[in-house]
Amino acid sequence: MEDIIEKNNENKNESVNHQNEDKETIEKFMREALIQAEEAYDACEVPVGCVFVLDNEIIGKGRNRTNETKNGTRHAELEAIDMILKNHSPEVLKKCTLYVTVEPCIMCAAALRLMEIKKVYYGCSNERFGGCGSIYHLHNESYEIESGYLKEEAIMILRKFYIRENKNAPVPKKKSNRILKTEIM
Amino acid sequence: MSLKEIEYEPLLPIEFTRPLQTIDICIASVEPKKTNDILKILSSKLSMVDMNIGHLKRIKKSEKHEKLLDVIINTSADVSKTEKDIKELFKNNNINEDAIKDFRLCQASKYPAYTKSQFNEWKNVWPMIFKDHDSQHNLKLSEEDLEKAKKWLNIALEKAEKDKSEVPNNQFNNCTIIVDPSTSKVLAIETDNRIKCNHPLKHSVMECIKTISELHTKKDNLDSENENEQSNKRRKLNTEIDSSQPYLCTNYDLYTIKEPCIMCCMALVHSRIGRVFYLKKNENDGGLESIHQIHIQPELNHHFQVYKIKVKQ
Repeated sequence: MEDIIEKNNENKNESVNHQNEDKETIEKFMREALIQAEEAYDACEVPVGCVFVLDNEIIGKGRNRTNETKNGTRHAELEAIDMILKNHSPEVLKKCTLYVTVEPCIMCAAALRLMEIKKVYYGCSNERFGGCGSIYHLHNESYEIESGYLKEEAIMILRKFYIRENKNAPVPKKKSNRILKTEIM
Repeated sequence: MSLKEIEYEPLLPIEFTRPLQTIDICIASVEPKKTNDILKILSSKLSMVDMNIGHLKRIKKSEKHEKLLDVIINTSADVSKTEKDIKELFKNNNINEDAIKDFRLCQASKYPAYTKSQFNEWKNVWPMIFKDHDSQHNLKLSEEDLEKAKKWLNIALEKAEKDKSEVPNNQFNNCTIIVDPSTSKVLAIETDNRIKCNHPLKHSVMECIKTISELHTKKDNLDSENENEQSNKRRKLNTEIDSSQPYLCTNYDLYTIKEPCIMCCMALVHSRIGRVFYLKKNENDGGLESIHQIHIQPELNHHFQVYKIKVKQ
């Protein structure tokens, strides 16, 4: 208990210094998130990675594990939150900053709101599922967001992945165009 | 609390609510006199239904060329290749290739209209066929479905009640059940574990999804134990799709007391759930009727049918 109080006091002082992280710090942690994304890529998972930072220190990291776990909800953010909650109380998230390579999806954006995260930095936007600006604005009135850090790297690794195709997804519908072309010949 | 007589209200599915989305179609202009012959060949080689545009009319009066008709050829963007192929086809069928001209792209509605107002708007892009879908679309639950909903929701209520006595300070008291409707087998039944586990994300829907994934991984491990080592290795290197294996929560039914929150609704999209049945509105954070309608969000890649179950007054 004393530990927690002591930590709280520390954080109060720290958080003043960290109100606005400088570009160098942001990119440093974003690189760490990219390392997680690369790990996901090597494991044939959609390459998204993240780190949660408390007082300039990484307290949790995660990457996509949806194929391995056969659970479509095991995104980087939820993996990292589970890791953090093994050693911390949920309140710790209120003082954390998240660095994630891709805009959180609607599920994760809502989860971050439930955890009352302080701030989110993300690389590229997520046009298909994004919950922090692309499809919904779930961060509004809850947490701050800033985007575009190491965006090119985040996009490149996704592109590299999608060229390889997701073998676990169900068979895509045949494109009618393709059948047609052969019919005419 | 136990449900005796219930009724239901289907939340409208995506087909009835989606806004106009267009696709490119390749059209050409033809002489009205030659139309019959041309249509005969086109419909045998390039059927509208096969191209997933059975909801469009094949032919309309041309606005660009007086006295000519515009006809849909195909949905390919490669106009010059289409033109070449069609002229070749006409030659082989003894039709003068001058009978068709000006191959070009044009827009049309991608989806059939399910409501009169969709139809009235969308047909202006390209003429459409309208079928009254209200009666055809399977929004109605059978007596059997309704009986099952009552049964599963009663089990969920019972389980939640029991959980209340075990975790009395649980303001999130809830229970969710996932059933495979093809076998009527319960695959997961979970309570809300936020308080119990001191974890704000352990909602009953998330817990059920996790239980199912564990079921599927366990089954996978058992299956591969029976194979020899070599095929096992191959399987790991190249996880090929086996359509007999269940994919996430595809076609499963979910029964829950409270309308799932936004996080849980999106988790259900990611999990490809089949149908969702619930009893109570979640005013603050509901993702199906209260705050957002995630099950019919047009931009998302999966949609599901939702039924709100009510006690008959």
